Amino acid sequence: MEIFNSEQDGGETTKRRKKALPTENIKEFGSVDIPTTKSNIHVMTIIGQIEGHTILAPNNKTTKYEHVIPQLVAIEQSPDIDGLILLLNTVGGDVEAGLAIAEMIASLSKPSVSVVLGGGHSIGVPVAVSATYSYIVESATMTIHPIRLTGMVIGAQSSFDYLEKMQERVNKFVTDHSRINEKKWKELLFKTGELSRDIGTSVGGKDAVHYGLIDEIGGISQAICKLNELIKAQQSSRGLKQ
Amino acid sequence: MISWTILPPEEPSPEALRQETKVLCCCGVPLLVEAEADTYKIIRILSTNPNDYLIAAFQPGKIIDRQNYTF
Repeated sequence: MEIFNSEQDGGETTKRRKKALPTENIKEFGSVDIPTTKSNIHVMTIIGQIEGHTILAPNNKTTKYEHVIPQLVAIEQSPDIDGLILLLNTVGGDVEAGLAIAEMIASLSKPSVSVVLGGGHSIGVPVAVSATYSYIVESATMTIHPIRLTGMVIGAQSSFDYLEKMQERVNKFVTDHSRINEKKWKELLFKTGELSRDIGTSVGGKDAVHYGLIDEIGGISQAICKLNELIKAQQSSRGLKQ
Repeated sequence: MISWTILPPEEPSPEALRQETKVLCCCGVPLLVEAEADTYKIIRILSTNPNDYLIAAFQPGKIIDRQNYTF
């Protein structure tokens, strides 16, 4: 993938950009560039499949970790950004890529609020709970099921052990970052009879809150309100320290 | 790769219909674009700044001319 960077030729492009843009837009797009205002809250969408080490077919809608992780670094480092909103509608994906994103969000020093819309399935669960505070809309669902292996699997004890360790990593992350206890989480994970194809559970918005997986039912207004509250709290605690 | 998804692993992936996409940084806004003969077609905005999504020129489907493309 080719990435063009605006910083490649120093200040030259910045000057060109400032001068050329408004008229360029009228000429090229038939529109005028709206004045961009800075927002202290940035937004990140975790949509489609979480893509890991293997590039998925172009017809898949994916969230790529090589896009998301540097953006999280930029959010952490920028003095203009105070908080992060995460919007989730994911079917799951690569375990390690998902865990990497979740760990990055969890280790941000700035407050983050996640909103699960539509679905936050499989690896979407650790990503949703990684935020400082999590919301789910009532109509959303989260499918909780054990990790499966794709492709050729060598049915040896060691591959089973490896898979179990991977499952343990996810279990630990979810129980550490949400109010759900390990017993309940495992019960949802290995429940039989709930999903027709496999073992696991499909948890609705209300149940996700009831089990302690997600903090509250709510949409974007509640999320922004909560984030502003968290930002204020963080700023005042910093003020006290100084 | 260990995948943890609700999608069945046996799901057939249809032939690649789309052309190769790449990331452009146009006016400081990262964009996922589809390269066409002498234009770029915007597929998705990759920025985290919510205000970037309001810029009319960067709406998905808009065409950027390669000749007049500004960083």
